[in-house]
Amino acid sequence: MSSIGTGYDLSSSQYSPDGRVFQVEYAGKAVENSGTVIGIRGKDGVVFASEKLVTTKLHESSANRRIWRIDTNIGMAAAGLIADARKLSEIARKEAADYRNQYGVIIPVKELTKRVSMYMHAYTLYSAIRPFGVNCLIGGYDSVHGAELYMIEPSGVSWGYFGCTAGKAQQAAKTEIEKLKTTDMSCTEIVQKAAKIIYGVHDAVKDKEFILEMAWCSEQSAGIFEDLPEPILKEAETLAKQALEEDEDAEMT
Amino acid sequence: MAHRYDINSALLRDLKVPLDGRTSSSHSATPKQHSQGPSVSGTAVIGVAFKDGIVLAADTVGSYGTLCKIRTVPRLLKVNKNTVLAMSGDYADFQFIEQHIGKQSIRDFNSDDGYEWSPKSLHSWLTRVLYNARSKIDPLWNSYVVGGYETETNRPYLGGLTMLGISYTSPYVATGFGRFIAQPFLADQVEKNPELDEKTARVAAIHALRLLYYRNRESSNKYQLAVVTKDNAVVEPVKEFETAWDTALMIRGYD
Amino acid sequence: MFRNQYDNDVTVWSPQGRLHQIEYAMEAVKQGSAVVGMKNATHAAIAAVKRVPSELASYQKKLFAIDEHCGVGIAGLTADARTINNFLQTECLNHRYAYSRPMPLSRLVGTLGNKMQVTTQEESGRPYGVGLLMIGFDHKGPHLIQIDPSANHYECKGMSIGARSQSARTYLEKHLDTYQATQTVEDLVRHALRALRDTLTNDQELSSKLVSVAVVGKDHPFQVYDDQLVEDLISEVIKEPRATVRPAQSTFAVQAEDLMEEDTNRPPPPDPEVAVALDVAVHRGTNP
Repeated sequence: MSSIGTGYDLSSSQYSPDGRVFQVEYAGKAVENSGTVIGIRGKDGVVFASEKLVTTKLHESSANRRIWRIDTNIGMAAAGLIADARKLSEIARKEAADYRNQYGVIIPVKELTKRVSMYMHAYTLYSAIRPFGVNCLIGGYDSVHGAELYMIEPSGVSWGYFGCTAGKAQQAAKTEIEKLKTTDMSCTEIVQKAAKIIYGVHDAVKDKEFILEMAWCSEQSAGIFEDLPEPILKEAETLAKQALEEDEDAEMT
Repeated sequence: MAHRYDINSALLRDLKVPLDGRTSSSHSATPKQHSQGPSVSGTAVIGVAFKDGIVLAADTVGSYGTLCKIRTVPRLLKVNKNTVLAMSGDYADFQFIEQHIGKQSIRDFNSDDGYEWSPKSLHSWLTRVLYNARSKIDPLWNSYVVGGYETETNRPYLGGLTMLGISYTSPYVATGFGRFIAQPFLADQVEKNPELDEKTARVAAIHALRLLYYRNRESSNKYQLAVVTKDNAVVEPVKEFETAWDTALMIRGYD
Repeated sequence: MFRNQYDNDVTVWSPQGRLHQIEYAMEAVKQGSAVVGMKNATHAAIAAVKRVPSELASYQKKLFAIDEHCGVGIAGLTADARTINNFLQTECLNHRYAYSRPMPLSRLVGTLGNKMQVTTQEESGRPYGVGLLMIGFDHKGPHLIQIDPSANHYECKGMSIGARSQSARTYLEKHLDTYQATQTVEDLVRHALRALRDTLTNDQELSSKLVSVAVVGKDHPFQVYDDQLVEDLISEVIKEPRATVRPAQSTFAVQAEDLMEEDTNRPPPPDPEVAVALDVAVHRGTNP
């Protein structure tokens, strides 16, 4: 990369001669080293799925979560540095609680996203702090706003999505989501597709094992953001494995 | 008339110590005052423990002085399936507390670790909050009864708390006026029958409210009960208890 | 010689998206003597190698009580650990004061993680140079949690950190089912001692002078075993043959080499004396 060694890429508060802030771009690289995370918005809710890479069998399966509840019906998933992401989840929870305190209703996902992205953006402005190495997916569902899904990048930029991906296999996963007609799909259908996508993009050679972590906020979960119930998760995993084997068989013949 | 020398005025003038707010001193001489009494308030609440749970009882009046301002206002709060709270005193202060409890409940829910309010932890926390406020001479004008089922000890829990932060546990609790009128009755009930069952406890709690209703114009016979047993807390709908006024004719001195 | 210009500050991302200062802080953990932790259905135990910096000094403390229901074992910069322990103790006390019950381990570690994260993102100060194994017991049962300078924390079944801890982790992975199924806390501790024994050099052997043990569990407040108790448990373990025989050598030189990837052919120049106190006596071995 032409940036390396020029000296213009050592601080967030410094532009390169062609007008880039390399430190923010480098923070994005940290996200690309992380396990893949996807979020999909359907007609009756949002679904998050994460490829939780297992580095040692000495860790409990509950270790290293990448999905957190922010308020009763809002969740956050993250790719990148987990310690950074945990901090952001804490910030998001505080903002959600503040909003509730002020207005007596749950924070709209759009407002929450705005507040968290402003926070992340502030960390791209100064040389004394570094940008967050996190892509932050925020999603929720309620009867007033319907399903909502946003993703914030380390730069503090955020967009609304029908489906979004972050992490190692973000490109491959994105291609898979683009094949779906997400707006017509219920969360029950999306769950199975999302599980299959994570199983599909997992690199079994480089990263040996992983745990599929999924959560949703939908009609089926009674408007509560929660971990996917165990039986539904197990079923989705079984179907995902089957589908993958079928795909492989089809390729063989 | 001979001039009387006022030694106090002279002394104060010499010392330049302002005694009231009418001096030209830049800051007010009167000390800062916080609330000196409740606004809309609820009267006494009752708590009775029975052998595998607790029952809380409260009427539903929100009084503004002696005015019955709100006839039906809930004074029992279900915190979770193990914990309920009964309030007496200032309703706004209670709502402030309620908001804090709710905030913590959501924080617990977000954490997804199965840790939540228990009657003991709520009682403890409320004690800290009330004691802290009164120590700043800005008390929250409430007395509380915290009740529920403590999963850790697998036993019912019943505690009382005053606005000064005086905190205690007991098999029967009453706040305010209830300490004088209902508590002796409840003591009697519990002493006669240390292993109360739920039905007896309910009857005792309602009768305690009745005793108070006969003697306190701020109360009413519209009431609510909350019953907590293992893994189940129910705040029941508003009901009315029966009263009999035929003996009232025999009372002398008030007509 | 190529000098990495991206490794001077924790606020500078490398072009690959790495934070070298955090990685170096993780290396500080390996400088400390080993700590081993594990748990079964009712208890969690930690065992640590304690070092004596000189004949005239007492040993460096490795295990610390935080509250009745939890404690930590540390590896790395002892002084940094003291700050962290103080924080943990204060958090636990505040929680007990407010709620009259012990603080859940997940919450405790969460607040610590957020505190540590700040040091990995801001220029003032540096990341903590210490790793922790925390054991505790709360409403969810026994816990063993690994905490890194990176501010990451992991719920573990068994874990080891510090010098030569890989050997212990090998033991822990191999005997995972065995120690998880142990019925008594003594059996659990014996497994911890066996794992810890694997980290020792050939000239060392388990003894109460070298090893500290602490346990916590159901109806069992955090307890650092006294020497006699440790000696009793050790006495059985040392009768068993040792798994691996490794030469006595300093790991420090080896790690210093790791840090200079581009220059492995030449023996590394002697390092300056470490200015910050480690919980290990830094002794220079001859380079292999």
